[in-house]
Amino acid sequence: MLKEKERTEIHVQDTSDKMSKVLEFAMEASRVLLCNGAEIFRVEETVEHICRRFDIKGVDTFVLSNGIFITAHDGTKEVFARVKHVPMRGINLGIVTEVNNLSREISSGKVDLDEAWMILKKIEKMPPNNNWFRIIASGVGSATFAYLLGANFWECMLTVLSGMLLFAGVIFAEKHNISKILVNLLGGAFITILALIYCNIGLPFVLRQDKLLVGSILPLVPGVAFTNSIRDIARSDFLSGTVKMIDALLVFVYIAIGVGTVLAGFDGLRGGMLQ
Amino acid sequence: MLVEGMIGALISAIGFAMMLDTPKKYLPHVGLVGIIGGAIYLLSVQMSLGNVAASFLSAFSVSLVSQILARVVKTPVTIFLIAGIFPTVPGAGMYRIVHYVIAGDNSMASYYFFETLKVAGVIALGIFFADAIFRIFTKKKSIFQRRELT
Repeated sequence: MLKEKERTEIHVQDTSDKMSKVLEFAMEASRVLLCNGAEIFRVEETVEHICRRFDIKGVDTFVLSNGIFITAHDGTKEVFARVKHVPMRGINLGIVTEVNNLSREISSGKVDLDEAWMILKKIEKMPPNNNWFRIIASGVGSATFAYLLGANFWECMLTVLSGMLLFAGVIFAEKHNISKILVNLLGGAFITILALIYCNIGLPFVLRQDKLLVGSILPLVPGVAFTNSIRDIARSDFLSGTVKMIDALLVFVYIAIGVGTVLAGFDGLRGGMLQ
Repeated sequence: MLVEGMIGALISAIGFAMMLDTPKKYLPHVGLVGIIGGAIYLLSVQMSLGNVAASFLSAFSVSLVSQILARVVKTPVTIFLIAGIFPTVPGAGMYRIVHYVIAGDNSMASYYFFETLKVAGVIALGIFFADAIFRIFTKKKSIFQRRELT
């Protein structure tokens, strides 16, 4: 039989073990959420839900757009403290949705910790939609957007083509970890070159350069970063909101530089008569 | 014109949702959000409210509907919001700014610069409002002591 003191020590050991297990899982879940483009408050709430379900108190989190800090203490001393750097990565709303569902299931008590780990691992390996599918979707999306801005039939058809080519390039860049600056600069330039080619090889129908460009540029537009930054600021996560807003603004600037350089170059070639 | 515009908004919203890896079972909802956003934008433009007001109304209604849908089907709001907002995000304004800067027409360039800024700000306002309205209804206790509403 154990002495009283030893027994309490073992008890403390147990609870802190359980605590670090749960918090380790919470950390991993929030990392997956954050690097796939979730908002700050969603990450914090996920940690909160997980902790509440496994009855852990004294937890504090601080989430930034590229870092997670979690500490916990059991009344006497700190038993868990982790800092995780989460580099900004691409957006995958599917993964965010799945982790969100998982956290919902955990807090309703359907899933225990080991199962949750397995599900989380599975979610992270979840392949994105078929790339061909995404490429076609981006082409069609760009074309209908151009249509909404008043493009005619042929302009829409050509926008499908440039939107698809552009997104194929973006997927290639994602796979090879090419820097975002380069992708957006070259993407903007590429779209402009395509539009200039369409307009100047003498196709037998009316083409307006601005409609062609405005539609096909859309796959590059940082809609997710913009929306997320606004929602972060709305929840008074000003620091992360500002960082994401600057991210979105810079993407705009890069695209503008890409488009502008090509337009200016073409302008120079033709002798300064921009349409 | 309105019907065609709505169909266009539907297809473009679904297209962008697919591009961003939205789960397929939510695509109909995304389409609905897209239609509403597009219809309200087009209607406001037809009533000659101007680009900025139209963007505001469209962004506001899109975020309201997204918040409701997110609570109904229990998914992140972002999924609906982003695809619905995408068509109003001022990509066109950006192109025009560059175009006029290079053409050397500074007055047109600054006109479109402020126009774009206004549209972006107004979209942000729309999202803010909808968010604030829905936060009134979600009061809950937090296990973190430091949390307080601002």
